[in-house]
Amino acid sequence: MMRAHDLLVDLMVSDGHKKSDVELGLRMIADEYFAMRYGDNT
Amino acid sequence: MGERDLRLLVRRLLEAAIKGKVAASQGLALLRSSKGPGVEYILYNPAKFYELAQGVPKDRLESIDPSEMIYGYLDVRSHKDECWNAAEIKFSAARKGFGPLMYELAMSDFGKIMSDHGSGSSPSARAVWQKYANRSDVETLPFDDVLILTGKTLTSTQLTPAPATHLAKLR
Repeated sequence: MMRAHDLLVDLMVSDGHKKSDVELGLRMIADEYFAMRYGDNT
Repeated sequence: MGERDLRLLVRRLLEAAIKGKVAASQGLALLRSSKGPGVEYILYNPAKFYELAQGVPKDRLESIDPSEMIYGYLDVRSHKDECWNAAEIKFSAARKGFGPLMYELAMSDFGKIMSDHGSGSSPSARAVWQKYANRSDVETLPFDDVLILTGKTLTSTQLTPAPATHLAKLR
């Protein structure tokens, strides 16, 4: 599954994204997922 | 081969590789990242993420709706001394059926895990712990020695009065 993530990042980098932006975006989306389920996690 | 053709070839190879991995992992990808003293795990559908990312500006990925692409989220903090040095599950959320997988990812990294001492466990998290209580491949442990404050002196230890199923490790 981590290899699938690496491949996804490679694909998005080839589209012009930065790896750090992709992973930061994923973390923020996951935070929002948690907030939708249980409220803010800060 | 020009640069454009090369980029197209790379893209096709990557897309094919992702499709292959999709079959191998039920279509899911895992982002595991260090976060302060712990680790954050995000289980997601990479194909759906990629599809949704096409519709937003590159600097606005965080605006993507998580409901279609996130399968599990886990924030685990390392923990020393008490409770067998088990790592603490601070935040967890997962689609139905994916909770145990998320916890096992943490167990594979940290060895032992335990429930959140500060804010407690949600009903769905308690359900995951209860599943572990019935699984032969997971050993459940009682919370162990905690120093008891008597007056101003730390005098003795005893088992923490918490359900034994809230601390577990893979056998």
